[in-house]
Amino acid sequence: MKNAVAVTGMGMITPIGNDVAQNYHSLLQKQHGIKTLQHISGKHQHQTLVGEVPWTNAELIEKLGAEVPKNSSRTSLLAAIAAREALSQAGINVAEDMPIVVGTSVGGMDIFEQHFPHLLQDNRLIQRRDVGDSSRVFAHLLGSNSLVTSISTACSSAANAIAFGARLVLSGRADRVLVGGSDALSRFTMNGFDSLMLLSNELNRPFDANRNGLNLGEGAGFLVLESIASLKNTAKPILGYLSGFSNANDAFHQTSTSEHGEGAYLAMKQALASAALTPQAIDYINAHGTATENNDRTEATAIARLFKDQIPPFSSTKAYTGHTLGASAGIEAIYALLALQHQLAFANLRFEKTMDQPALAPITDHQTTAIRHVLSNSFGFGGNCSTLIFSHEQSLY
Amino acid sequence: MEELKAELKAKIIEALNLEEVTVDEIEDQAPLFGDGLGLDSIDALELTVLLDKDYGIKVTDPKIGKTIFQSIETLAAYISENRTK
Amino acid sequence: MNKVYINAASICVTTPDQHHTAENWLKVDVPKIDSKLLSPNATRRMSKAVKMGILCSLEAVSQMDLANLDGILVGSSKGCLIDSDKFLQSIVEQQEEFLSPTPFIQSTHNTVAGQIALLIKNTGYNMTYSQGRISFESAALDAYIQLTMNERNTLLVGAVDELSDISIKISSILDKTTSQQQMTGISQSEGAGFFIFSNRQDEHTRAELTDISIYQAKAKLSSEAQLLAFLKKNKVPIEQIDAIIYGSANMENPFDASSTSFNKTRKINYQLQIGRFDTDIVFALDLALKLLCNQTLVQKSSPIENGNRSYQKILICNFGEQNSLMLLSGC
Repeated sequence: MKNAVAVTGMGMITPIGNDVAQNYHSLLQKQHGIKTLQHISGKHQHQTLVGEVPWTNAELIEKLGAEVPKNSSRTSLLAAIAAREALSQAGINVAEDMPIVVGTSVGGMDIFEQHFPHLLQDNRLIQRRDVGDSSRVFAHLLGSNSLVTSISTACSSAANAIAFGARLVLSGRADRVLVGGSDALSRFTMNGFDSLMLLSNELNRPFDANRNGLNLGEGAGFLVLESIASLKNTAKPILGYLSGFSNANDAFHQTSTSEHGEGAYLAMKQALASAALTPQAIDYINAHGTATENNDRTEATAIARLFKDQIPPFSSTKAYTGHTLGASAGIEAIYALLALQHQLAFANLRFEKTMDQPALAPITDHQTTAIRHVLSNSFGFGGNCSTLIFSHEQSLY
Repeated sequence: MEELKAELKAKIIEALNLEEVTVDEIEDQAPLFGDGLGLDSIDALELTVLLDKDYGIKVTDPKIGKTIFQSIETLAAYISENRTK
Repeated sequence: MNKVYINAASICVTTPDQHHTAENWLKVDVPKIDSKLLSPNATRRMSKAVKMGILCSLEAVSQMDLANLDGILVGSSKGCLIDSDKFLQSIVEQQEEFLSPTPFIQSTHNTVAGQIALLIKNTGYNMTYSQGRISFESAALDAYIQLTMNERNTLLVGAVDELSDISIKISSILDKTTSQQQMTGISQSEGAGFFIFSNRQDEHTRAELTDISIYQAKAKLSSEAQLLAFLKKNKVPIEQIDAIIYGSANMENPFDASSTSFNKTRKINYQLQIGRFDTDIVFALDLALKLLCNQTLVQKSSPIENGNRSYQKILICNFGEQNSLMLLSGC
């Protein structure tokens, strides 16, 4: 597969686990991590259902066991913890000579908003707000000395970061890259989604006919991608392959998606083409599935358009973690890889009734099945639609 | 009711940034969404906020908005009946 | 590997006249958008960043068939700052009640790229990079790789950053010491620049983007060594560089006494022209294109005299925590 890159490391911290193993365990147990908000004061505290990483910033810093810059954003801390796990698995101590590409929507807004507008009389906080700053801080913690850059395309950010990292490897500009996404909960995003009337006051029900909105979440998920050629003479274990990716735009409306799911359809179709795969090759879809009326309907429409009468098993793992925004594609990439590793498609929790149109239903129980290729969708505001395809080692050639 | 309608027209122009539109140009019965003023789903949300903030009416189901916001006429009627401010 | 050409350019920056004042903050006077081009209904929510981005984009694509545009890539360090500040302020002042969704929606970083796509109905690749002073170069690098590898053929690549009154106020209150302008002679400003990158040369081609590189300042090699390595990789001896157009995060002269290799090369500090904003590198690129096409630069009080010079190779440098290098060649 000409576009394939190897995955040699995965790392994450989410509302359902502090690392990959814990996350897998929670998925197996069908244990979600959504409850009322604890750590951010204000209108939403103890009221709004969210997927929260159950550690304060001080506790995250302690977990990191490193000295961090003053007023580091929670986004940076989550990223550092997840990235460290990924690097460790890939046998890399320091992120030297390896570009880092991060997807995030919040950046340092979580720390900036806490002190807005007086900013504790410290003008360094002005810089903290920048998307690029939270990436810079965590990259520095990892000993980075190469390109560090950030992509901010709302909910598809991490998918796009993963794809750009892969592009850097495929072009020969890097042998290996650290890629993924991180987002912390913030008053800014909670109030933003609330003002759009997209939040549910119940546990989210992706693809259910009676779904009524999403639960926000936070977390980080990172991968180490390496060129297949550079791994030829090493014994480094390969966890799977990123075999295809694409991004397309819906060009319909800023916050809602088109009737026929054009952007989603194009992203999936093009990703398949980049992997030289037909729709029939996909054995499981980790859907974007935010549980909003709009997304799930148009995503299902796009899936039906592309896969026709051979819809693969699909589910949304946002039922476990909530919608982790800029981190979601990084976290869900790892869930896709776990599906490949364990030959297991994960149940879509809390689904009861099929939508009228299109009448597509996710799997409601874990399914042990032969999985060669997994497709993962992430769609963001501004019509930004991204798809990643992960493949099992034996299905590559 | 006439006063309320005029008030609404002015508020809508301000809240939705309709810079080139004057109060006189908005007809009572003309559709606000689609054709007519050409408002969209984001505007519907803004109007929902307006209803809450200025008239104390909470609209929790976004779909109800479609009927209420049809025209200045329907909007004024709904507000008259339900306002708490 | 394909070559990458720049077939169109459009910028929106402060004018030299504005820089005669000793103002710390200089704003772009964005022209009113022709209602025939864009209805007032379409522009009413647009912040300055979006308007600048759209104006430049529309000009950049004006000479091409839109069906050939494969995507849009935008770099922005602070994104839609005005709307972000507005929403933040409303959260504080209204204590999270009665919040208007419009500024929240408009504040997402990829609003500019998304609005451009919406306007010209482009369903192609759509990307937004936000990494401080290398936001544009990140977008440009992505575009460059795609075009050289034939992943796509023609891409709109640009950047925009805007000033926000709320942020200016906060900044002024916090920083009561000598202003940046007084210290460096360079005001804080805003602006945008958009370009058509393509692996197809045509009658509008301005120059070739021969290579692009981004590296950390604390990487293993010094800046001088990085520049030399970059030129060596592209088989261009120093003598062939007709000008180095450079800018930086602060006023420190990156070409000090210790870096002697480029002593004889003409250097242009472009920020003296348009002030400083995080993605001001777009002006440098536009300037390079003008020089390579031998356009006479008639700009009042411009420190750049053209004379009878002919430019064939220009190196653009952006110095900061991460540095970028772009090599432009005349066609």
